[in-house]
Amino acid sequence: MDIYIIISVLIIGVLFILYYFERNRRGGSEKLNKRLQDIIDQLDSQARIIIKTDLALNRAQEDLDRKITGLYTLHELGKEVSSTFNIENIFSLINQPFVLKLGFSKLLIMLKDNLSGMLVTKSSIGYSDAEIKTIELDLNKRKFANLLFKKEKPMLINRDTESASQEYALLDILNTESFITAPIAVKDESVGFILMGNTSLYGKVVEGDSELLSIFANQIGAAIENTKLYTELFGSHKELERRVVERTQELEKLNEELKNLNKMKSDFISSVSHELRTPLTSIKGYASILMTGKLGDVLPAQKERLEKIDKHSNSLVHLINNLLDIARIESGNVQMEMKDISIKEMLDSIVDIIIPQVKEKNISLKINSKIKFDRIKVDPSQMERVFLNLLSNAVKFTPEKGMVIIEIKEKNDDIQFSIEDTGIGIPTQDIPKVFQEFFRADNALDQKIKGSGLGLSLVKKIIEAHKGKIWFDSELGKGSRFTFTLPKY
Amino acid sequence: MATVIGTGISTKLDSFASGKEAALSAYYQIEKKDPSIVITFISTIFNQEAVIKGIRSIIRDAPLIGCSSIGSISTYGSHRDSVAVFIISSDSIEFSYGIGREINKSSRLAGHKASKQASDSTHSPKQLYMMFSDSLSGNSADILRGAQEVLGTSFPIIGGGACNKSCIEKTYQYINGDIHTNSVVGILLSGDIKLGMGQSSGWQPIGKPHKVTKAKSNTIKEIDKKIAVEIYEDYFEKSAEKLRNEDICKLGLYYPIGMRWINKDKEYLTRIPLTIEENGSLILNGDIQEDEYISLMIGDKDLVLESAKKAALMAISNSKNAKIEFAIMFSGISRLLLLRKDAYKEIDTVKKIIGKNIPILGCYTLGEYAPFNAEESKGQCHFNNQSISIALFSE
Repeated sequence: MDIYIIISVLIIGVLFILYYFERNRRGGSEKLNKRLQDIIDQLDSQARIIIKTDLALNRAQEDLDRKITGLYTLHELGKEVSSTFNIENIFSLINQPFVLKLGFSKLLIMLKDNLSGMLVTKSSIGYSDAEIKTIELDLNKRKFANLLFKKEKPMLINRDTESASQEYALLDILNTESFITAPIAVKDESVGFILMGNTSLYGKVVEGDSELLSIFANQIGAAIENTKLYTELFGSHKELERRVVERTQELEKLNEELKNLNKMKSDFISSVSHELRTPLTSIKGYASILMTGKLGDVLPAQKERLEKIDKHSNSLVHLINNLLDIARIESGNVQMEMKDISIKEMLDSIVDIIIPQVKEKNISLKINSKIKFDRIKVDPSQMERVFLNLLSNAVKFTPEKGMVIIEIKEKNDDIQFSIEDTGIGIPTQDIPKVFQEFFRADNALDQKIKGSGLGLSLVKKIIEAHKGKIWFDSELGKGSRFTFTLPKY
Repeated sequence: MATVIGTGISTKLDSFASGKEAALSAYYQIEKKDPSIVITFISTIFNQEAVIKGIRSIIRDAPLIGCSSIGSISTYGSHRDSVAVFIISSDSIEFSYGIGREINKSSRLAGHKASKQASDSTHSPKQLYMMFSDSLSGNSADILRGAQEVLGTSFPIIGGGACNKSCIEKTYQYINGDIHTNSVVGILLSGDIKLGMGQSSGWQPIGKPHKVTKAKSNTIKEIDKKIAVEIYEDYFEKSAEKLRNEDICKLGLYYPIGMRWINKDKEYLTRIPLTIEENGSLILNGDIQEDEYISLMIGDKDLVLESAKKAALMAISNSKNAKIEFAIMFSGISRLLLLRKDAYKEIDTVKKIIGKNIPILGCYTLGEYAPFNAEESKGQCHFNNQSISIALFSE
């Protein structure tokens, strides 16, 4: 019995000890679990901080990206705007992809009509034609213009934050959850507005969009102004062009008439000269026969008269020949017979002809040649006439003991000849007429000197036929210098 | 001739012109050869119909398939707001395609129909199925199951969810010039080709693990015996209403829910919450199991680039030293949002491994179909998010 009691007591004792140890173990485990749970919760709290920071960073990046994309898109539009002067072309570039890329789903550009003062839609995205009609009616009827484009800054309206009745009414009219508008200004005057909005609750228009819209509105304003300026400029340009065309036509007509008149004159001179030359040849011929005495003795007084007839006939033949040459060159009937000659030899032979007159007036004649290559291609007989005319003029109009200088030099692709004298010079008022046919300068010396007034005209024609140019400088009482160019060989 | 791919990318802000430009550029690259198939990815900023018309003006009646996307992936890099046209001309690959509609009614049936249609049209050895589904309606994991019922559980499948700029806007699927929504389109590649595939995510858990205590299909009702939405309310210190107003999906793109996948690489399958129900339940874009331990996930640029490297190496390893002809690559939209201006680095990382001159075609998706942790390219395909999936082709 005692053994049973002892065994029972022992079992109870062992069980009690086991219970005691188990209770202690469980307590420790719970403590450990609690500690672990605390650590997990602590880490979870730290995770929340990380997530919060990460989210803020992502949002900031998103805003930045949106702005960069918006600015880039507007920059692309700006390039197009600067390359066109048609405002309708610019509005056509504002399409659905453009608006969506800027981050909006709706766009409306309305401008005030100059005549009626009513708002007219120029571009719209996200609205049907019927919606646009209703919006135009509502906006014009309820005088929203002040609200929409009289404000200096962009106006942002959100359905969940707006309570003012007029702004809230706009949300309904424009069928959007949020929108932002900016006035379009041309020369500081509001001419319309741009509105961009979103229908989605998730894509609300935000304050940061105002900068983008201001840039956009400025671009459109500048485009309208540029188009206006361009249209005005284009209009004046067209008017100017029209006038120029009109005047050119008038001038062409006059020029044609002048050409016809000139041709008639040349034809007349040519025909009259021919008609004159035939009887003149007979007169000269008969005078010569009479002078020989073959038809009977000629008295000295008769001979003297006959010699005068011969002399004057010669002058008349010379005059007629000059006239005929001018007419022929003008009509293109005379071809220059170009030959390769030595300039020096040509001048020497001309000087030989002129030298008696030079000596007679005790004039000093100098040749100053600065050319390296002494060859030129000209019609020798025509060129001789040019030099003889110019030199004889120089000698004629230079008083005794004066000076005549012939200068030859190279100038670019030409050879430039000049004949300078210390003569009486040409009066200023006569300068434009010097190369005209039959013109003779009005001065005392000139009256005494004989001439037809055809020489310089012929000289000009011959030089031009050689593809050269002639001009002169002159100072009254001091002398003249005639300069002409001929193409180099 | 084998297989040639022409790539055309356009960012012109004119829908028709953009489609035409991209198609013309791709068409010139294949020297105007007859297209076997045209794959296109179009940003939703464009008028979809006008873009397709622009593409059609160049490729005429060639088969055309694709989906809307926030951006394209190609040898030329990452292009947001673009039209990407890939023209494939091949005498060794056969392309057959199909469509399944109304995925909101039965995602599984739609997935089944699309793959059946594609599968029935070919008699060559089937090699890879590529599918694009509407990511905002139905259950993407069910669409995949539907396709696997036809093609087999271990059949290689790649692709993803068509996307828009936000999770609430429509997405589009294209087949032969028709534009669909709430649908899935698929292309089956058959013929004598070899395939190497790789996939990886790079998103990591943050905070303590939670237990899904009540869930059905793609709806989580309770987490830790609390209303599901509380997990986001707690971590973001925002009410359910505010989370709803601010678009929970946008938040989920950065911080999805992840399920631990038992493997050596500690990879996670992630799910994006699309909406919050009135009762606080979360509707995810893929299914989730009851009693599963989940975590809130967070991404990091370096981990994303590291995962791109891992996926490319896996694909190369599975290609077994074959000469790579071209690559298909899909990357989660979350990765693009995280990498932002550095998105090109992800493509460069892949190019460094597979070869810089290998043509790449792909886009950013909202959810990806790929063999998860594939080995020998025959691993079972799963629906995942925030991941990169690569398929390398050799002939």
